[in-house]
Amino acid sequence: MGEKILTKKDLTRLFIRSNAVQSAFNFERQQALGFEWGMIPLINKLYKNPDDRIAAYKRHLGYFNSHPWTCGPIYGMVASMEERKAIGEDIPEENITAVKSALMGPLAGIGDSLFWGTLRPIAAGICASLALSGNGIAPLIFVLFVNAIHFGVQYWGVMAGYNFADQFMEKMQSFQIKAWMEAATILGLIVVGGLAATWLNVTTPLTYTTGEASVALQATLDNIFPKLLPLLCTLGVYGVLRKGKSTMWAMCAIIIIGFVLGFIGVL
Amino acid sequence: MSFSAIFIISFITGLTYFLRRFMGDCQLERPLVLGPVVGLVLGDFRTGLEVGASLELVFMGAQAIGGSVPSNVAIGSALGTAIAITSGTGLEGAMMVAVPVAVVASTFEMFAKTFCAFSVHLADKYAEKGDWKGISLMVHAGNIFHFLAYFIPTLLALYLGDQYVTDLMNAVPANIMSGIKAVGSLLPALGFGLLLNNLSTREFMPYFFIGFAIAAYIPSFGVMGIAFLGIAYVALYAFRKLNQEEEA
Repeated sequence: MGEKILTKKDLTRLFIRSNAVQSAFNFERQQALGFEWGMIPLINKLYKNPDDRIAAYKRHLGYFNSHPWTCGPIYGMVASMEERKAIGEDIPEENITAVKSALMGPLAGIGDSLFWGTLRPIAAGICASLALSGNGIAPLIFVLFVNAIHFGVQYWGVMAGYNFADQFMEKMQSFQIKAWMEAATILGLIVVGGLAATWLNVTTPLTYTTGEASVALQATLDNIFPKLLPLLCTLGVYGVLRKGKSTMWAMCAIIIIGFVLGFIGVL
Repeated sequence: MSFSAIFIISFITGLTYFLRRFMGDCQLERPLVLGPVVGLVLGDFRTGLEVGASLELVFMGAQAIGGSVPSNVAIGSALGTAIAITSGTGLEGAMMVAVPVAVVASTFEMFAKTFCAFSVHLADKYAEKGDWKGISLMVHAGNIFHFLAYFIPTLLALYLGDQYVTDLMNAVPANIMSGIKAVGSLLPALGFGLLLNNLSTREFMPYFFIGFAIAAYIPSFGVMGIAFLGIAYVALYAFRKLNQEEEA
């Protein structure tokens, strides 16, 4: 096995940059740019060959959406996989994408319920009542308390993710890694299917009349196949991309089609 | 309010949002924090603290989940606090302003999130050339755009009156608004389409439909439930595969 390239310092830097995961947030690929920005110094250190670098930049510009407080393990695991890929181990880039895809949803779910759903309201509630009883430093206590947890969890996540992936790949033989990576791809697809059905919200306000009553088309669709429209949209885009159209082309098409359909009241 | 106070309040409001993008959701845009800060700027920390804490309890549940855009707590509470202090109407005045403004102002966040799709595509082009500085530039440009999406409406609302901003938003024809909303709701399909394109070999594609169908038909199952089932299934898959390999 080749020499390790990444140092503790690189991982600390990765942790610092991982906090920018929500940067330039957009509806198309959510936190893709933020994730990319976190990976840039690492990619630059690991890959000296321009083609490898370009491939890595493109790899991490793919769709990503997780939770800003719990996405650390993904960064750590991806760092370890990229390191081994750079050393020359056989790690196809689909596997790296699969690990990201399989983990982003569940970790976001944990973050949403644990922090947004529980910790934040409790801390804010306590500090707000302190503030209402005249305590002027309550807001400061709130900020320090939640962020101590925030940065602590994220730091631990990046390090733990790296160590886990590193030891995993150290212990396993290549055929075992292959089987587990195939499993990660399957898990990725299952989770992405679930995410698409949860996070994509395309509905129609159209109504039609049967006899006397006017019926909402969306309600009928929901009875037969809920989330049919989001599915059709995703598969449509997927099909267009498979046919070799550029993503820029697809984006312009979506903007025009979406605007027109919204304008005339179909969506 | 002096223009410099207006500018500082708007800048701070934009900055808290910028930091949410760039420093991992530090919760600085919560009313509990923004209220007293706005109070400090306007020289009435006590009222700011009281209004901020009360608004915090009102907006307790508002949080973006999975890329949705909830009502804009930051702009609502900065404006509510500022108007409560300057008009002397206290908490009632703040509520009257903060809640409707938060709803209207969420549109600006939606604009930013739609517009930033362009910065991703420009970043694609830079990535193609291996120009990491160009990619970083797009990250920062996107963040600055998000900053402006909070800064400008707050500035306008404080300078011209919050009614002006509400009227302005209402003046945009409903057709155009629903067109923009439709674009916002369709764009994630592109992200998912791209991801599928990277992930799938044709033989694995049915797994996507399994995940989709569970979430579509049983919404309460949630992503966590699907992940749970998925992990159990792929563990079976991997162990079986490993056994076959060992026998072969």
